[in-house]
Amino acid sequence: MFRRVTSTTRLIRVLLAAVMTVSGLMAVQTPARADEALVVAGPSDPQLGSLFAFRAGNYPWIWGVFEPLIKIDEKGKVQPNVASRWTLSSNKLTMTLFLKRGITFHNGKKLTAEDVKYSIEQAALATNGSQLGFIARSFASVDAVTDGKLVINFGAPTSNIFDLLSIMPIMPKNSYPETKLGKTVIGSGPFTWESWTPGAQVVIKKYPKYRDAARINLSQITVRIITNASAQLTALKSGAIDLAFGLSTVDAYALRNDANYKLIYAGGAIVPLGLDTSKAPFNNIKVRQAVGYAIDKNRINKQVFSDTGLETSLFWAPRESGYPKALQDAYTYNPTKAKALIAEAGAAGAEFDLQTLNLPANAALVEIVANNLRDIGLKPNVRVLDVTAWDAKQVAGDIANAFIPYHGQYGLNAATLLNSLATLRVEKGTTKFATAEYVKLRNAVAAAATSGAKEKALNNLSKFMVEQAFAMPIVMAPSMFVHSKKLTGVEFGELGHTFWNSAKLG
Amino acid sequence: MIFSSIAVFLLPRLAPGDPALAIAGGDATEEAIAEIRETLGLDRSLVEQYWVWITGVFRGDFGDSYLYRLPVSELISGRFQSTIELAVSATIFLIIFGVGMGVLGGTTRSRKVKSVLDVVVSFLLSTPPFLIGIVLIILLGVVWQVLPISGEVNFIDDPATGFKYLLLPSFALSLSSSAVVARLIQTQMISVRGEDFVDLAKAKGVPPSRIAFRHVLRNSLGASIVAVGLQVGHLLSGTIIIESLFARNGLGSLTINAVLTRDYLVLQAVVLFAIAIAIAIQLISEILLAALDPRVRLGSE
Amino acid sequence: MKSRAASRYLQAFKTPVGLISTLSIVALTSLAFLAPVIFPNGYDQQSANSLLGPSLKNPLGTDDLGRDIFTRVVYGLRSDLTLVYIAVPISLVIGTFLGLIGMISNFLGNLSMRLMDFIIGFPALILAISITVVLGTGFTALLVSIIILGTPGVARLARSTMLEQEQREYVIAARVLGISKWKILFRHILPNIMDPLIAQGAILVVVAIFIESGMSIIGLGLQPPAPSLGVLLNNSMRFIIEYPTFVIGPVVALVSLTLAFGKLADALNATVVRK
Repeated sequence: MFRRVTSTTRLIRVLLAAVMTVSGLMAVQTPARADEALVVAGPSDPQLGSLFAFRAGNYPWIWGVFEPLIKIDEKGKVQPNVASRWTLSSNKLTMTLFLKRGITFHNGKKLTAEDVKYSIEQAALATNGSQLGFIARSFASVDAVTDGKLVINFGAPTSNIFDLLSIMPIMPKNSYPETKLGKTVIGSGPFTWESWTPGAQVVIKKYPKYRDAARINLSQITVRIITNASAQLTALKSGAIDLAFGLSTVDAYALRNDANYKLIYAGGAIVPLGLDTSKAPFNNIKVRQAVGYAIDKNRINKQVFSDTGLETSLFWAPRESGYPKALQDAYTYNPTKAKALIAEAGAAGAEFDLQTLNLPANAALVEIVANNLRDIGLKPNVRVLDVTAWDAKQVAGDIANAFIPYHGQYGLNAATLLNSLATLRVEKGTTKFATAEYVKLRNAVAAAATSGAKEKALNNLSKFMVEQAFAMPIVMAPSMFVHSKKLTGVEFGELGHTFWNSAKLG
Repeated sequence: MIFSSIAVFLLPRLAPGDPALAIAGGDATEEAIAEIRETLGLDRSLVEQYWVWITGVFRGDFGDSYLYRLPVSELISGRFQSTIELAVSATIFLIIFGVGMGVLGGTTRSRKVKSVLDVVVSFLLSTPPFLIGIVLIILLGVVWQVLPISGEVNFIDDPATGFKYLLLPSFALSLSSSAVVARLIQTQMISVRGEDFVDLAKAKGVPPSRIAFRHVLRNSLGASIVAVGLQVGHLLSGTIIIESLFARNGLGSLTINAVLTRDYLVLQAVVLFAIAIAIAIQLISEILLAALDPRVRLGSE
Repeated sequence: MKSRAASRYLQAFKTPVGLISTLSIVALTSLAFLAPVIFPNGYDQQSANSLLGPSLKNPLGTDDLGRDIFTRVVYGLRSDLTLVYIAVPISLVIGTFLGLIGMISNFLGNLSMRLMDFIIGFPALILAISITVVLGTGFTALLVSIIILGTPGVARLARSTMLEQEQREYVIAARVLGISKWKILFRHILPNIMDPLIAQGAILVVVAIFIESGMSIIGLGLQPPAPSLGVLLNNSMRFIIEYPTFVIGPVVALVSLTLAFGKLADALNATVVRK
């Protein structure tokens, strides 16, 4: 027996040596790339039919080819882009936008207010799937007054208008049907759409007639489609790519102290726990509050998000104007209090379904939540659904007694989130929470015209939501992007889109 | 084939959700989903949808992917290269390892070598390719970091690096199949060795190495070709998990993604394609077998 | 008849390979089914101590949620064996039935064989994935997938053995004597096909474990919190670079399981079936 083992190991050694030799011969450095041609890794194929929606596959290239009217910088301030300036009437119902002069599309045509109007109309179309389409649909009218001037009449004060304007690509009038089919992709950005090989790569090339062409450093950007997180890591470490768009939290975080890489947080996801308030046991407010105290957010943040997330009881980003900071830690881990509340409600031993969707973070997170809930004497039956099956239930507004969705919209305006998140919606909302009080407080936030009014309305609404505990954020998880130190000047939009205008390979 | 086409048409449609959801996402409203469904033609009756699809297939048109709005044939051909690279290199390793181990086992007199081979072969036989893959990842990618464990590089653009990325997945894919081939060749060689003409050659004083290669191996080759052919079919079906494990963006990952996003037309085309390939491989190995062995006549069942 | 059969099986178990594989199977099975006794606290004892290396307290370390990996591997073994011990007998019964039905009715026999051809022709993994998506991930979907994918092999084996036995003199004689088809089936044919079927059962176990772990690798395995070896494997692969020790437990358990059943099939084929 002993002899046998040694000869086996010898054989394995010989095999390994052979492999080593072969791979040693193969250990050629990655070939040098043309100067200023950047290669990045994108998480999935582009979805040209969803340019108005949030799709990670479009994030790496969309603001290379297209441009938004305005940009929102890291601090949440609105910056001009295609629109050079804008004015708001005193009754907050009319917005006038002035466009920069001399902008041309890649087909040579001049960008005019008509094109902007067309783009707004496209964003409003339900079939284009924009999460913010409801804002465009609420406009009373959009008029292209002159080539450089556009007037939007709101039906009601629209405080979240910039959310829409910052994520909406401007495209030539009547061009979207062709773009959807991938035939022509025409924007006004610093790069032109060169080619797309499904499953492999997207190539965009510098647009020589861009208004700011002299200041664009990159000659070409190749977005290699690498769906798997660990494959992106391998590619980044081997130098094949300079920016990874889809690393796992664990992997990205592991690179934070590596001198060769830079870790960037941008955008992210809201991961809440929603409770169906129409059915037992969560039709009882005490049970809902107990759940709030039962969840160990700190451990979730550490074990699932490498401690990069924000533990919070609010859906809004801290940079939101009028952010009720005092309520951020309304629910902290307190199993004793949770148990007492459960006992008070007489809900000990209550059995219910707890469902989530099959994303790595959610699948791990649901196990901790279930464990926490078992600790306070509840009996959750956990199910993890595949993403499309989950989406079907979420759209229908009926998931389960308790559920953990994943909303990749962290950082949007509160008024926007109230409508764009199925968890917070009143119509077909998944929590089925739609009391008159809730509707009134929501409307107050949307209608708030001054910053004072906004602060008050948001505070009232947040207080109410915390007390009612029908939807409780667990962690705000930032998206993490890692790039090599060679690459500088990349700007990230609030959802994790990239602007390449000042990017440089050094 | 018609049954399969109906099954592959119906099966994914039984699953909850449809491509409209994958397009619009879970935060969309029901109205938006309904409108998208209409533009995609998903609101039409199943019989109508099937008819449109199957008549298209006969014209060579597999339709457009719901998710990417591109012709399915274009999507498949885009991913084809990656899978072919993997399958071809795995087949080469299958032949090298399978024939190598088989011939060694069939010719060697050393008991030690035989028993080591026996252990290796039976270990490989009862271990699925992805488990072998994981063991390889641990050994050559983590403990001893000599080979990349995930991702791929286009072989045509950069053969050296591309090959490096191909090594682990194609080893993983080929090793357990090569054990099947090895065992078959070994038993075949041992039985050929017992036949009269070998004894005759021995009596004539032909050197043992010449006997082994000229007589025994040649007469065992037929079986091994058929065995390799059959195993190639297994290799292809194994690519789905291996691609997923090693993060290769081939047909396997396209298929999994198509199921998960309910991209029906992509899935339908891939399955028809896979069935056609399976039939082709079966036909080819039957023809080869017939050509090699005069005892087997075509259609003499 | 019975004692003779018993002695033949005993012979298979007496060969070194048969003995070792049988003993390993018995050991693994008892370990799995005694899991609640050995680890009365269950498999979901989470703690803040995540991703620890091996220690005395946690012989294989802890996972990302601070659970003892050794405990989870043993419970994972339990899930896999439960799945297998339910799915494999069902496939054997259904497969045998479909394979032998040709003896009663030619039409039904042909029909069932066409059905089996159809299943075999369909790409196995795509079929399993589709079934899982339709039924929702979890135990039932895996069970149904294993049964559907395992049945054709059994049915073909049963049918070919049946066709072979039908030509035997004793069957022809029984027929001539006017004994009913059913009686011949149960008295003569069924006992004769038991041996190859039992060996096929051992192979099916290996196939079932392949399916369970393969489906888990692509994220469509068992539902949490119950672990299975495939789920553990998939989970550990996420941490393969930072915490490679995580993967050892599930890999060793899976390999020993498939090796034991694979070798048992070999041993049975060598001694029982050949005779």
